[in-house]
Amino acid sequence: MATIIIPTPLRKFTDNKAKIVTNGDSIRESIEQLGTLHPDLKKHLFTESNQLQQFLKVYLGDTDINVLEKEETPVSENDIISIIPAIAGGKNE
Amino acid sequence: MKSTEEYINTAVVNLHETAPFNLEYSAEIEKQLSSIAQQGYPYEVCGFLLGDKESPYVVKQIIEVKNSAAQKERRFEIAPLDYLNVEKEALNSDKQLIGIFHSHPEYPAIPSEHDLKFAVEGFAYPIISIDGNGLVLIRSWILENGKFINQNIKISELWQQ
Repeated sequence: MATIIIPTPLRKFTDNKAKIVTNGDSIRESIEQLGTLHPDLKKHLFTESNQLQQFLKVYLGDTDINVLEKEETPVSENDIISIIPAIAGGKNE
Repeated sequence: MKSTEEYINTAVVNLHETAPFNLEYSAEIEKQLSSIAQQGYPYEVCGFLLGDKESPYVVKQIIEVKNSAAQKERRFEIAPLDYLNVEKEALNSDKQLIGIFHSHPEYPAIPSEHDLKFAVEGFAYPIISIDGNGLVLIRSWILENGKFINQNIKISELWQQ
């Protein structure tokens, strides 16, 4: 069980909810449940082959899950999962 | 030197449409954006626009964050933790992230394909064009149907601030 912080641009798919509590035991289960609760959000979270979208980062607390056990990282009550969109750009040349 | 029009990539920008909502901010915020871009010159600077839920395109506050890109003279990148901290700050203060600003040193305030690659619908993207003499122009853009469209900027009157 953990709370997921939804990034602002994706809140239009969660009825403007910024935080959603899920019952999963891992990051993957939690985010999959989020996709089940809000089906319009699912394609923004996962690719067709069920991988997390390339431009999203997932943090457990202040730690990138890539330095933990990635999507299989276990979560417990009071954990905060953050979904973070990649933000970048810049001029051509 | 190329004219501004020559920088426009029609695969990135749709000039036939204009955003239905203006981006609105005070003269003070305009000054802050200009000053941040000048201090960062010749590198790109970046940060967030915060508003509130009731008026999603009115900028109440800007927060500059570190440009984490390797080639700062032509790229910007915001580190995930910087994003997370601003998102949390917005949640705790009942504000809302409404956009992302960045500068284009020695380049027009026109989005590039790199800007498009990471853009999301719903955010305002003001771009600050700057050269060695100071601010050239700020233009704002939003993403619609996979391309940027221009968003007019309204500078609030003093009494509205």
